[in-house]
Amino acid sequence: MRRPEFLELFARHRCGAPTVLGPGLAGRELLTLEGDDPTVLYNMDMPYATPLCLGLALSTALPRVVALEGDGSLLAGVPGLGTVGRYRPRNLVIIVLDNEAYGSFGHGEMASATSAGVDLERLGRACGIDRTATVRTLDEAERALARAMAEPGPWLVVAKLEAHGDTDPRFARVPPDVADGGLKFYRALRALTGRDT
Amino acid sequence: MTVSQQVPRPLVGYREDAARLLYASLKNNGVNFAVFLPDTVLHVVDKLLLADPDIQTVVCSREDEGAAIAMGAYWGGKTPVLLMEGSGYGLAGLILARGVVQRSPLLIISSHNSVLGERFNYHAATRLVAQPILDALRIPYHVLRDVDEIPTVVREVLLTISGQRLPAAILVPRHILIEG
Repeated sequence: MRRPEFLELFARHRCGAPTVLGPGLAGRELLTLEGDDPTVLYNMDMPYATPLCLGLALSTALPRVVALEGDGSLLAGVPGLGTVGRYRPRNLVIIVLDNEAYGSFGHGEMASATSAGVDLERLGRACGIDRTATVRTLDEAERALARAMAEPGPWLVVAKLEAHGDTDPRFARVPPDVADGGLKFYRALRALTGRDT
Repeated sequence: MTVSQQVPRPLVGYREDAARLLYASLKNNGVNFAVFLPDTVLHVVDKLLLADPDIQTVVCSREDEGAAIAMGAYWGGKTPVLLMEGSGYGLAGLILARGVVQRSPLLIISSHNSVLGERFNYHAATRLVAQPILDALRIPYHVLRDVDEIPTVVREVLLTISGQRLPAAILVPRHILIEG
């Protein structure tokens, strides 16, 4: 399963749920799929997508908040999984794009710890997150995303992906700058939570 | 008597009145979401926040994670505060920088400072890291000197945070919350 294929599936299941991405090429791919949607915040610094979404999930009644992490980002923020497992917000979904590499440069030559057997799903379960899945095919991903976006969480979905570089010309566009994107995201959240009425 | 049967003996004496004043100042000025990593100096304030059902609390695992959680809570409509030992700035530089860039209002209350009351050498690194990080990121801060100024400082810092849409910090030296 390649990352753009998985992200296309995710975009179909997202249904406008506020989403925060960690750094990396996945942002370019989702931007191409979603366009300039202000409910997506790109390039959150590693490893803060999950804790930002935890704060957002705990502080709102939004039906779903999604942290879209790379395996490198999640490995950098493992203590945060314990906090998610402690407070267990039902509206939080963490999705990990696990290509077993620091893959946004060098065509995936730099392997991450998941390539050596670190199991992110088991890590999440050990931290108290009991709604989890590891998916390796688009069919598995379809089923897991449908549940994660509808059933009470918190959810941790680990998508095992092929490592590939930045050679796909469809995804050349760079996400908006972080200040501009942050402001648009904030305004979108105000509207979604009824604070602009 | 085994170790577990021993009556706990507080290592420090707290100024409960000052802790209550700091807690009340936060609550009276609209703070309704508190993230903290427990530490010695702020311990009583943390406990008061935990006991208040009107204030949502999160005990984080690392201070940088806590800053990110608090920023997310702000996006969700809360008025958050992050409480931590000053050493946390050493971990939180990147996410605080992101907060500056994204104009995220965040009140930080941290123990320790560079010059007042740092009697223990094991706080040598803690003492060094806070103010230089805040200075480098141009995050404004105030070092408390007297208990009496707590209500005014909390109120005015929160006004600045809200008006300017930025993180700002109140540094709490030992003598504010600990006796002797």
